[in-house]
Amino acid sequence: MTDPTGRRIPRIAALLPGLPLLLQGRRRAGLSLLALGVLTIAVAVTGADRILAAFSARRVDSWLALVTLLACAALAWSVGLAPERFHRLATGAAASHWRPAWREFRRNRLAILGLYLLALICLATLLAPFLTGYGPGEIGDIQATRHLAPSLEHPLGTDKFGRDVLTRILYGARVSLSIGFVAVTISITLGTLVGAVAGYAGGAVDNLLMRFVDMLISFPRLVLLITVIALFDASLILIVLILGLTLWPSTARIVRGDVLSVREREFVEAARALGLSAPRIVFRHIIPNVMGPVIVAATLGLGNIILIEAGLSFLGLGVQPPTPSWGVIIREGHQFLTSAPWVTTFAGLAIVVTVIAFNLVGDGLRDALDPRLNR
Amino acid sequence: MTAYIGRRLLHAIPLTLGILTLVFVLVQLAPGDPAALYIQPNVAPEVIEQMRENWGLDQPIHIQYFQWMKSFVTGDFGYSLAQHRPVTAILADRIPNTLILSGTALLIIFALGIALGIIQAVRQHSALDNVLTFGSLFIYSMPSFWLALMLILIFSSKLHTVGWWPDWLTFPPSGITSSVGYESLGFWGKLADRLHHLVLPSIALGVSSAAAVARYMRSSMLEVIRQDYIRTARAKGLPERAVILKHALKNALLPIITLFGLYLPFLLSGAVLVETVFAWPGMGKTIVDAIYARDYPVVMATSFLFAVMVVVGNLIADVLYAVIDPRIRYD
Amino acid sequence: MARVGLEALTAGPASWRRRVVAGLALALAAGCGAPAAERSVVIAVSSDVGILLPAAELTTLDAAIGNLLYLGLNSARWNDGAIEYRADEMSLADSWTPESDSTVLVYHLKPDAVWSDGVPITARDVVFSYELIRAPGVASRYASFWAELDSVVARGQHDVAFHFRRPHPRMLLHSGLSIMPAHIFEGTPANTDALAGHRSLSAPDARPVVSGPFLVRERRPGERLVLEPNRRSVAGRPWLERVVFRVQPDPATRVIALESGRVDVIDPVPLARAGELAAAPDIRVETTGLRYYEYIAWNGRRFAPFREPTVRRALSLAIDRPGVLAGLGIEEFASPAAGPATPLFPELIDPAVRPDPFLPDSARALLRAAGWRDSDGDDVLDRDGVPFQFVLVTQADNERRRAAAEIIQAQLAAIGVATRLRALERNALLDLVYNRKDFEAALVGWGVTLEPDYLADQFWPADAQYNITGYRSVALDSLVPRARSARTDEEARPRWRAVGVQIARDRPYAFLWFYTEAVALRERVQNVRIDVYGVYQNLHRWRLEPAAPATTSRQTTGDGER
Repeated sequence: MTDPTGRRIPRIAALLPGLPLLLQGRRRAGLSLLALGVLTIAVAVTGADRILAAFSARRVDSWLALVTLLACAALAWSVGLAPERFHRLATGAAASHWRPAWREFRRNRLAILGLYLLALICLATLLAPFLTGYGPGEIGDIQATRHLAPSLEHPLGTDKFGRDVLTRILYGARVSLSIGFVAVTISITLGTLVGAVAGYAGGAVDNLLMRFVDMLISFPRLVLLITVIALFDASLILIVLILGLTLWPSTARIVRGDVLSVREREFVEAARALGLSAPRIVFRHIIPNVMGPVIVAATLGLGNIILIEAGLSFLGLGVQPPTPSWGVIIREGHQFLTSAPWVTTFAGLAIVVTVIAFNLVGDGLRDALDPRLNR
Repeated sequence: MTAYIGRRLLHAIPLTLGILTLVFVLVQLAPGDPAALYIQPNVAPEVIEQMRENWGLDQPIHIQYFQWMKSFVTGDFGYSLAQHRPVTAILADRIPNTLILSGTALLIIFALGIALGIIQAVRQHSALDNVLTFGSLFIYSMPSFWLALMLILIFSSKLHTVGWWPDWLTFPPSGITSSVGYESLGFWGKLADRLHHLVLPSIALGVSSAAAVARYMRSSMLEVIRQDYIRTARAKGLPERAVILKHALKNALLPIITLFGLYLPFLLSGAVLVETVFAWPGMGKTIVDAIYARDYPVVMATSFLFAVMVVVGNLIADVLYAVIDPRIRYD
Repeated sequence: MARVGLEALTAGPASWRRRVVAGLALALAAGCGAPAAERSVVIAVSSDVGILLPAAELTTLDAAIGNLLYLGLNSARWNDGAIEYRADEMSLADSWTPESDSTVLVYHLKPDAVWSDGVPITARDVVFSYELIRAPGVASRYASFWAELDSVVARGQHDVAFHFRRPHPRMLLHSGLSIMPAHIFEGTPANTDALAGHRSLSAPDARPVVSGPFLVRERRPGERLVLEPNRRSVAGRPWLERVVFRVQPDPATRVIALESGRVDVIDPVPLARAGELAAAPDIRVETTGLRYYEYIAWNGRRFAPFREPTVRRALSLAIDRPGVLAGLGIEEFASPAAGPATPLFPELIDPAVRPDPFLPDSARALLRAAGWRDSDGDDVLDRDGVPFQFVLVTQADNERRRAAAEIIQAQLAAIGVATRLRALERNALLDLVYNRKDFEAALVGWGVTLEPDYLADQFWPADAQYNITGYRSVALDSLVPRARSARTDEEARPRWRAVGVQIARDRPYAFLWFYTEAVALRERVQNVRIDVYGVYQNLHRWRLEPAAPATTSRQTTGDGER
């Protein structure tokens, strides 16, 4: 390990995460690691008793938080110890054709900001049990703790049952984000498959599938969602499924368009000439080449789904209490909008920040991945 | 072109029929019962049975389907189960309300979006551009109903208690007109009263899409500004304002116009949540209420209208595209 | 990159811009200073009026407004634990006389009573109205008035005779239907859609022909209903010139509208916020009496342990009723329930039957005695390998019930009973609970009618539509018919009390609490009688006090709307 002037950096510097990188002159990476390290220590110190309790608790979320914390620590210090090796590992793992995109993405400061925000949100979500001393559904002496304004003890105040709003928002993130991730996975997978099949097969299959896609797109989405969820039973699984199953058509359209152009390219012709089977061509040669727009759609879609889920919860069609999703928190606070505005306000801000993060990353990815937009 | 439009319209027929069938199936599959409103201990069960029979809900499903399709195709949307009125009368009541709200919102979307986009483009990379970019991102990432609540909280409730804040800058949290004294107002007074009630809902409904339009407008404008003829115009010594507003704007607007077609369906359906928050008796609220009441005829008629709007909107978007960009050929 | 100043883009003729801004400001200012209609009130209600025809009305609000538009032969009011029927300014008859062994009631119509179009109100209108509620196409909720009624016969212009099959306590109720104008609706087919579509009810400028103190001035479905005085009514002239019922479904917005002085009355107030509103200087809260109750129905047909009385008793003891009410912040507006009989009717209450106290230890002991133990250490009781775990359904769009369910969930968890909450949208819930009866436990509620018969509706017989748990009791099989056959109130009340006591002992439900609905009014709205019989019963007597000078500087404008 040497610094830019070629001097050796003592190993001891690695005790402070990111210091070697900083000395090497790689400021961004160094500072990130430093921040991660400081964060880890801060959480460990302030939440020491909760962490100790987590060892004995038999609860999944405590374990999850514990593992996350250890992983953070491991990452902060191990990367600090051997940054080159880690760098090689990280870049070597990525397929070669992603590399220019990554370089493009890294240059986009807003996108990087989004990435940091996302990382922070995910960490905060996973570490929730160590970050607050309250449980998300913990109801104590309601009359004494109801609707307390934000204070040191309750940074974001308390709700109508005297529950800590910050805690509920942190745990709510789990619900909102998981709904987002799973629903997007479903819709992207389905959309890519349908789009690829339609685009590659062409003819009647294409026509039929696209008419179906048209039909679903023509159906006002929120109305469809309200109908299905109001009509059936709003379980978490149903909501995830419905969101996933209603959002795929736009992905399918994008993918189909791209497949139409990719399918005429030489390498696909070549694969066909080699006598490869259609599924093999689609999965091995076509889909990887249309992944760019799909990834962009997925990222932007995540933000979108979080908004939609919040809207549904607000209409009372979301997940069931006591599971708090952000939309549910807004809805619960809504009743006391004027007397306890903090509940609704902060839950909404959590949504805004998260969606901004997804949009920033999505925009960055679009700029990086979509050659047509390259400046 | 005409042939293309004709063919697209032909395609639209099975499309809407498909959508209608889908709605029918959904509504029939769903638990719930339009007669549930009658479920009260002091209403005899026989009354409820009678009501179902009066509504024809006791008939086999396929018969209900064909009867309904038949009357639908002949333009008869039937009677609302919950309101005892012809569905067309309900729609006639509600559509104007929605058009007013969404029309204002559309105006905000395009006027504000285009203006901001131009400002950002001409001052690319300036502090103002960055602030606006981030600002529009912020607004774009907001749930519309939350924005609506925040607006109500601030402009209907909190500012009301601020002594120096002018009264006319606090806005009513719901409704279309004042409840008292509206009819005694003159034309301008009525208009002002309506505008006063429109402010919050149309902002809640419009600004997030305005932010999106601003983003499109910015990049479209940037692309145009970079082109040769703009350089020529500048070289000729035309004032910058003329260059931008006369020459660049026209071309930069072209791709934005196609957005109009895509936002058109929003005229009818975009406002479900905002209408609910502001108790704005428009189409969005109509369909939500109808779904809750299992008012089947209203649900189906409104979804039908929504679907038609989407189809028409897409068609308009495509046609505008073709008109603007002659390279696109439709055959 | 060329730099164009912002000013370059926005600079236009400055005077023009200024004029627009000034104009807009002026217009907006004009909009809020709408001239006040002096004698008008604005009432924000949660839902719209369904139909302005008593035969087809459905909701409480329908009925309340129906009573103001269409008078009945007698006029009812709440008088300390009982309904009193009278002939007064709000009745069409000026007296009635019983005949032949009290099975016939003859009403004598006021000779000067006329409809709002000037046509006299006669016995023909009464006969027509009673035929209307009997028509299958109308499916009227008042069809049950015919249960003991044999015929309604006109005796000349101004007398009408009600022939009952037997003397019973509800004869006055059943002859008190709001009377509808025969000369308007006679040619119309007797079904709801046709009646509702009648020009006088449905045209955009429709003016229903009515007899009560108010006329419909304007009706915009989903938006508002405006009433004005009916100069021809026998009820006399109301003080108010304008009453606006404004539909504002969202409770939070209703509260804001009241606080900011945009409306005078909000009906109902979300109970959780009623205390806070009552403390506000210019606002008072009035209640309508403990007419509503909430309970958890234990459906033994879907979850077998609920069949055991001990288990039901244990669950009831584990619920801290006062605690939940305090948690909901509604302790002032509700009182724990001992059984199905509302405290409204003292004569139906047996003071010996008390609400179940909060005794979690006894609850645990009872369950232990019934064989429930936590044998696998998961904090949930089990017996024969079956965990004590069930789904509690409740209504998604009712914040109070949802919240109550959440707190009760926590309280039951404390004795090792696991509940999973499932909040359903109202219509789906009603279908599930009352039609399909496919639930394990349900937190739901009802309002009681002002006749004690409601005690039987939900509990007897075992296969009754509203007997959702299929509760069966041998005692009730004799008690209910006996109570129903009573000839007078004095005879009926002790019998109904016995029914209530029996149900309270059997605990087919965990009766949680009786609660009142509340409305909030601006102080200036005076002379209002609000009780169990309704909020608007004397709307024609309401007055507005001139606003006290400078109580709160911002809320002194005389109009409800700014």
